Amino acid sequence: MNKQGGSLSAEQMQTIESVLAGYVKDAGIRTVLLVDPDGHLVCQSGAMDTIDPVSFGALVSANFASTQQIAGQMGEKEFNAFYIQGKEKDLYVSAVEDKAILVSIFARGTTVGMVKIFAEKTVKEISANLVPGEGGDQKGLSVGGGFADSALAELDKVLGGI
Amino acid sequence: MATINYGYREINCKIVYYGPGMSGKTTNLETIHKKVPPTNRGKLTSLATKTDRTLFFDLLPLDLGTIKGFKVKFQLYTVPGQVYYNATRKLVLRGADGVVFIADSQKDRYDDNVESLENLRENLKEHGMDLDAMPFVIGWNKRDLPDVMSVEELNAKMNPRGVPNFEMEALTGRGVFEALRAVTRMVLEKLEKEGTR
Repeated sequence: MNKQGGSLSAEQMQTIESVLAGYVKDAGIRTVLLVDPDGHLVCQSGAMDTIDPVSFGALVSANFASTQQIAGQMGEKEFNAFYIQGKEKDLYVSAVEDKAILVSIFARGTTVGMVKIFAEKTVKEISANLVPGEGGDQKGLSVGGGFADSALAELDKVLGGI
Repeated sequence: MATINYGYREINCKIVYYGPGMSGKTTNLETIHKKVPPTNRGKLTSLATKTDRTLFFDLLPLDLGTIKGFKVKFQLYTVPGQVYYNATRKLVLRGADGVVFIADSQKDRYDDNVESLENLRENLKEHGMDLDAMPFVIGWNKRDLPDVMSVEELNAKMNPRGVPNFEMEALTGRGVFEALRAVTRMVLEKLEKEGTR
């Protein structure tokens, strides 16, 4: 996976899942999501509560992308992170270089400074695992022929026939 | 671009509905949302103004189930059509695997259609993408209204490459599912052939 899409191997996912689970525990946060720059959810850990991770990931990704535009207009090259304070829960969003976005949700009792420290460490660990090519960026999807036809048949079922 | 998560055995693709303001992009997603069973779709999320004009985007996640061992998921986005929202249109286009252009068939909207199509091309270029090289279909919407241009004329003026195009009435669903099916086929065939690059 990279800023132009890509793929993640099973080994990479295992490592990332383990890193995220450790982050949730060590930082004392409630939820963490890893989202790619296009808004696709990559991985999640912790309690989801009322969150729909798919739309949540897309919204945060769009929000993060818009902050980058704001950074540009301010003469900044980029913003690496932003923090949003709520009444009960806070949100801390940080860039994993240009490869992904780490979204951390935590209760007000958790110190934001602590979250930032652990998030920074987590970003480094994840970044090292998101090296383009190592996840198997592949020429062609290795699922055998007829994949598109099978998927379209499913779409037809979903749409109840056209 | 599509992401393939071999760990989760999951494929995610992004399709963007583009077109001038009030051409029917959001209505396309609403119609798809109504038709697709809840088990195969997520929530329709709309970032709209108080007057229901799209401010940032609409998003509808679709889940096609497991195909050849991979969970296949699509995210359908719309862009805000109004001219002054170009910065957000550009953001939403990032990473698109396919585009459905929703044109308003009414004669007095022709210039808006042309301007929006040109804007799409330019915005894709800024992301290093080429409209002529990516899955792209057109929906000629609002065919039920009076004073519309003929499809032949629209194709002659706006679709010189002859990409798949569909007469559409987004409110009733006419052409909506055909357009979705066509762009989905193109995205999947490209993915099958070229992978994620």
